[in-house]
Amino acid sequence: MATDVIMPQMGFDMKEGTLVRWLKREGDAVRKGEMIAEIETDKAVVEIEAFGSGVLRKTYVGEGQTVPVGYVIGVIAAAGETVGDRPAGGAPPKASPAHHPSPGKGVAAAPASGEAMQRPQSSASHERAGGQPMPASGEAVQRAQSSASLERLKVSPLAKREAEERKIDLAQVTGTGPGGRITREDVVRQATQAGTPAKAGPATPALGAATLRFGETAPLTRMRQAIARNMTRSKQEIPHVYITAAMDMTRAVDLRQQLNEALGAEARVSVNDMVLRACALALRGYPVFNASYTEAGITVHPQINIGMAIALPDGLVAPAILECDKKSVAEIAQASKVLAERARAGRLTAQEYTGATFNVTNLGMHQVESFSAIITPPQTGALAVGAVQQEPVVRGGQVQEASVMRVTLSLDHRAADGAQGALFLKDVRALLENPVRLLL
Amino acid sequence: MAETYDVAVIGAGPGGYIAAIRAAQLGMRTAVIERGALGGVCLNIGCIPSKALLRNAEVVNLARHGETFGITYRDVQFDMGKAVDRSRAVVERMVKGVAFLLRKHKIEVIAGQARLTAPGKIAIDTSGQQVSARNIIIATGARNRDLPSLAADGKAVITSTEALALRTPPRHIAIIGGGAVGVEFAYYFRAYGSEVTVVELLPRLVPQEDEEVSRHLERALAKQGIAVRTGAGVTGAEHAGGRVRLALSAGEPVECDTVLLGVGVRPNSEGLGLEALGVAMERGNIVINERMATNVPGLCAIGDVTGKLLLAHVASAQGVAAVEGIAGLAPRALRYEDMPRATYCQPQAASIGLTEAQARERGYEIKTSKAALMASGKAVALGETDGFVKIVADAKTGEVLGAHMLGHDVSELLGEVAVTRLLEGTALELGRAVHPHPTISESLMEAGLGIYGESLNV
Ligand SMILES: Cc1cc2nc3c(=O)[nH]c(=O)nc-3n(C[C@H](O)[C@H](O)[C@H](O)COP(=O)(O)OP(=O)(O)OC[C@H]3O[C@@H](n4cnc5c(N)ncnc54)[C@H](O)[C@@H]3O)c2cc1C
Repeated sequence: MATDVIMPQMGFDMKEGTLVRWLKREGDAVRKGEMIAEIETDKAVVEIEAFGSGVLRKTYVGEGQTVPVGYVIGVIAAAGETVGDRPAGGAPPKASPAHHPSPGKGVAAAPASGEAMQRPQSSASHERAGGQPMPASGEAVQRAQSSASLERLKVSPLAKREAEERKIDLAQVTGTGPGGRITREDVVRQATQAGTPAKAGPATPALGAATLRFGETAPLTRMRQAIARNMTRSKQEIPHVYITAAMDMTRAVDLRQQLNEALGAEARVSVNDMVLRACALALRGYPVFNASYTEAGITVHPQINIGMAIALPDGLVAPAILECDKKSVAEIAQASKVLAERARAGRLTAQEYTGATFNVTNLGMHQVESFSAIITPPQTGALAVGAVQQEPVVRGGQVQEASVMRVTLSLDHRAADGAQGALFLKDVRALLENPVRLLL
Repeated sequence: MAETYDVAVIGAGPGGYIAAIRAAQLGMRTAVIERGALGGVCLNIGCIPSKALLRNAEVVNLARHGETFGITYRDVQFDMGKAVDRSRAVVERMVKGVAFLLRKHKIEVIAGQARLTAPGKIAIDTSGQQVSARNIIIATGARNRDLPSLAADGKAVITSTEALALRTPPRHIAIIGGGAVGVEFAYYFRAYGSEVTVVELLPRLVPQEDEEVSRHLERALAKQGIAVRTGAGVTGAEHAGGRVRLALSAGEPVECDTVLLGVGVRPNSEGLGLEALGVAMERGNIVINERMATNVPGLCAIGDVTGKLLLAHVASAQGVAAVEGIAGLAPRALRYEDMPRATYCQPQAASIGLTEAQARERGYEIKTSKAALMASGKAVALGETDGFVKIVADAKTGEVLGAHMLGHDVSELLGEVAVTRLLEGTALELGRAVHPHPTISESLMEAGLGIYGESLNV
């Protein structure tokens, strides 16, 4: 039976992917599970595997071409089997709205029934091994114990066994089944990613930093390659506009001190956490910066997920604080700590890797006064945050000392104009200069 | 200018009518075009009438063994004509049900023979009507096939369609083909007293089943007095004096008065205008991908005409997948090996997933476990102890790779294994789930436990 190779979705905001390289050529034999192509998402270069065995009979998409998620990029079939010269079904599935005469009804019907399916499942999907008599054999006892620790996870029994077999920590696996249930495929995917470190991009210790020596050329690591490609693409495709604004952080610094006294050492809030919160709130009023530009239009993402740039030995990642605008400053502080830890340990989830809709990058800790960031495609904006410095300011005709911070917004001029950027920054400033509003 | 449908389905069998209902459910303007009766082969001349007749055969067999239950009759009569009448009444009721469902979902039913004239355009040859649709689903099914050496004539050489209508049992019927259809008719005619010989080219009956199931079924049928000739192909047929003499590639020729061809089907893909549109086909089967799309945009195909797995529930599942693909919903890939399969004679043969041999071929390290129905209280109480439930599991994970069963009404147990597979359950969950006592389903539980060496009643 012919199996289509499709452009996978590697995060909810991924709409398209670029075929970087075919690892197999037309006519090559492939086994199910073998890596057949490298694709590039907005964050990383990822290898995709064959979902069937046979011969890679056709590749419909050339290297360097970008196609929408779900597009058939090739087909695997038996040697004698007939395969089309064009992808079966022609247009990518997302072109289907044209098929919908009454989209309202059709669209509403689907999620509704999906929801009804999920509810009963969440309560029935895991077993309570503790409540059952222990089976006799040692093997069985082990099984029972391992399921007890997973009680709060929605996971299929087979996925659980597979995870034990492959020594995968289920807490790190993103479930793709109904209601986020972890399926066997999810575990296998995680395992193959862990096995080939660079697959999901950065941060696995094995990746390490390339050791650079004078007089020698070090090969590029996957993360370097990905960053190089992404940044080059950004600078080639996105006409950047940079707008810098200074803000008086005196009150924010005071508030932060009060917060930290109240919250205790465990929950310390940084200035950056406050900036993240201010950005998230300001983005609500400027959806164009929480969006992606394509020729088809400007797609505004349903969630505000702010990517927080984290430096790693050999590059950086910008994992997302999901639904950042719905989190309090303290929650953001907590989330950013956890993300930083997990990023360094190489244990981010796919959604965290690829889910950011707007990036914030901060070099203030290195006393950088101001700088500008390159937008990470397909985002439309990025904020570069400098250090908070003591400067003289004129207030009511008097020279006073104030804590001043400079931020620079990079915006995609195809999607938005400078004035919009300026207004967005004005909102950010208003929030940070009247920081109690961050607590509302 | 007639209106344009979102989806037009050609053929109202279990593939087509289910596709139409799903499309209507998702808010699409839908039409279904049918040249014959609603319900297709399945409802009219396939699954449903044959199952009605098999129920009769079961009752007849029980009556024949009345003494077991302390029932004695004098002058008992088995009227096969009445069995046929009952089966037609069942069909009529089910077909009415389909008509009602289509009406309820406001699906346009167009009578006539459909042909594609251009992408998105269908001509109804019988009425001259033109139908336009953004998406077309071909669900035209298949029809019985002849043998090169032997063609059906509707009299001495018949197909399942005529066999369903026979009002008196043939004296001696030779059934060519030992698949599900052949074996079911063998059981049926034997119950009504025919002498029955089943001829199968491959070395065993129901050759797609696990070998153990085939062997056990052969023994069970032999006990009923059915002659089985496996590893024998028909090489020629002579008609003389109302009798047919079949020459076989191995062993003695078979003399009979009726030959039933149960050698499979051919897809109904001709005369639809597919060649002109460049639709890819393989030996007449329309080639589809996992979203049921053909190589021509806007054209899907489902059911028997795709030659994937010739079963009614597979056609329906393909129909739902095709429509959901058209609607842009996330595709649910059909795993054909997860489709349940059954042969409805008694004892029934029922299976899902990989056979032991297939699992080994695919490189699995396997464990198998078998629970004999002899140990099932329910089977003993019913007096139907012939058979077993066998599970093939992955030795590493306990994944239920396949279940293979033989026994009274065991097809009813397939749903449980199908759900286990879908939810990625393992043999452990099958074994741990408390099953009602006494039922034959307990044997599935025992077999599940058996994978871990923990069977309780074996
Ligand atoms: C005796 C027998 C017993 C069977 N028992 C079982 C069983 O127990 N379980 C099981 O799962 N399967 C069984 N099957 C198989 C099952 O019937 C088929 O798999 C199923 O009917 C296929 O459904 P379908 O929708 O693809 O096509 P069909 O049911 O064949 O329907 C196709 C329809 O399309 C119509 N059509 C064809 N061409 C055109 C055209 N050009 N224009 C308009 N209409 C057209 C036909 O009239 C027909 O109504 C049995 C088959 C037989 C023969």
